[in-house]
Amino acid sequence: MRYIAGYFLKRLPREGYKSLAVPALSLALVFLINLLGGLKAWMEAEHRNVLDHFEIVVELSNNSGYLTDGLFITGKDFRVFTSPDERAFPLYGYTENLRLKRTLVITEIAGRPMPGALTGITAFAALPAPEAGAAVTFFEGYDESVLETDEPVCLVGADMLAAAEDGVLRLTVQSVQTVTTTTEVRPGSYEIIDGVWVFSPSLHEATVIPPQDIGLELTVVGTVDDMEYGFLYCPFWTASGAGVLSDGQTPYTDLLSATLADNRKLSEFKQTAWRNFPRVGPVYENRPISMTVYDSGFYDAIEPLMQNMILVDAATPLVYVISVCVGFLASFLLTRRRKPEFAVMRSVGVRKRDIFFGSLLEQTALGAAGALLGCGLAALTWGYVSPARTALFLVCFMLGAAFSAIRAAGTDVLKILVDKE
Amino acid sequence: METVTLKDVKYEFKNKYHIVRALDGVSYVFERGKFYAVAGRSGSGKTTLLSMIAGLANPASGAVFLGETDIAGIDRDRYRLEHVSVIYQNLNLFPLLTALENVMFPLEYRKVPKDEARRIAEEKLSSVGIDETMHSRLPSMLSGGERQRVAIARALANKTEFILADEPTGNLDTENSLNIVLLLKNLARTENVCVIVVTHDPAVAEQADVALRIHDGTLEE
Repeated sequence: MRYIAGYFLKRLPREGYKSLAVPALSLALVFLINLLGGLKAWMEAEHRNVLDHFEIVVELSNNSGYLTDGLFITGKDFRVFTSPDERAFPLYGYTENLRLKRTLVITEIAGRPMPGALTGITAFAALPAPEAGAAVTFFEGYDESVLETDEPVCLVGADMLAAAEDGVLRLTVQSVQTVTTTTEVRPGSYEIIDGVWVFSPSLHEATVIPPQDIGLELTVVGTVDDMEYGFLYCPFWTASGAGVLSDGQTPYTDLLSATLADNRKLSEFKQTAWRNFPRVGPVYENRPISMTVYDSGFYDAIEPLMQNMILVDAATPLVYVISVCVGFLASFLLTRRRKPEFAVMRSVGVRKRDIFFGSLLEQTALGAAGALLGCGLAALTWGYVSPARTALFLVCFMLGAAFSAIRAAGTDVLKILVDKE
Repeated sequence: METVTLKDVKYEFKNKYHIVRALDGVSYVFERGKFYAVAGRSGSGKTTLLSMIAGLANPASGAVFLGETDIAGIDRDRYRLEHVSVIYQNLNLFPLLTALENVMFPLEYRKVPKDEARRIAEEKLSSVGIDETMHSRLPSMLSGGERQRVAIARALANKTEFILADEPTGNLDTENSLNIVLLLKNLARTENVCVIVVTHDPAVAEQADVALRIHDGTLEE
């Protein structure tokens, strides 16, 4: 067998250009296989990048007409933004970068009636301006950290500076007309739905509290470019402390925003969350808090990637099937042309199995040569080569070539002689 | 082995239109040291007869014996390698091996050392009139007569007792045909080889020790 194997390999360089078809096909297929592999790897990296770094913002706000203690539901057992509570809706298990906003209506600025809004924020990042390119300029001695305190300070638009006396702005804020529930009609209750604790708050008789005025003095510590007259930012806890009414009610609207900690849990988070918080829209009875998940950008980024990955996954096995076919076809065409040669071998006494292995070795050598060049080309152009995929190609190619090698070994000498007659 | 014997060999095959009975109960004993010519018109079964003797096809019935041994029960690849050489009209040489490499082929396949195989091959090529300058030529660079001589040299190098030649002079001119036939005839006598030549050329049949005719699947002297 060794001699016949040597014969098959020795004849290759003597065959000249006729031997080039198989390596050329192999080169093309291996290049394509590695191209698909590289595409897949790149898309997977992009997919991971989106999953790991895309910020999906979740917002919770208390709905108009309901009074809540911050985002604590009356009954105070369902705290959504403080320490983890095993009975709480597991927002902490899903989110990070929690930020709160609390907005009060302004009715007077520096003694003059002037509509506006005072928004308390927990972090500088909650300001809408920076990412839009607007600049925030802090006065000397102040920086972003002041927003994390409860000091009576504020940021204003540049044209509001004139309204401040000695750097202090006097405001009147007004509570919103709220509906408060005081008399419990139905107690709150817990139940477990699909393994998650869900709290249904108690239902109370409603009492309307009319708006009331509250005076504030805030030191201006900086300006925000292009901010409208009448709109101010202050620390969250300053706004919270500012609007406590005489009967203990706090007059505000709340907004909690957070980012999803693990985008991979988006579906799981939404399924669990929608049981507890309705989507933005009509207020549902017993559901004072509504939630919005800003995930459209995430899906816009990830869905095309996933669709393309599906396409690549579908195309890849097809290429391997083509490799089997090419291995068979290339070998078939070569061996068909060489039937007389195999007939001479058989008549001289060469065994069928020697012809089979010799032919298979020859085709494999041609396929491997092309595969090697294909890998080189892929490395040069795409920078991606997968030894595993290339090896699988060779296996598929050899499988195809083996079918044809069986035919070569089974050459019917008599039939060839009779056909020639 | 001194003889190849056919006993009531029958062979048939199907073509597009009907069943062809190529051999219909052929019985004959071929002996070493003799030059046989088997004549018959085209399609009479001459090639099939040689293929049966060479073990390249199985008879539908009957048997072929090498000495006392039915070749159906032996390794026929080895049978062809060690006992029988076949020379065809066109189908003889490996196109990408030189004349020398073609003659060395069966020797190296039988694991004869390369140097020894080369020496034998050169000797046999010279004995059939292929001089050294032609040893490194590919078959495409040789004439028809030279290719046949190389095929004969390979048969000689392999030292087989039986040489079967199927229309060896079919594509040759008269002078070359005669030279090849005389070469084969001489082999039979000097090397004690059984040479069976299938031909439709009466001039070849005239040179034979035994002239046979194949007709309607039967063999007769």
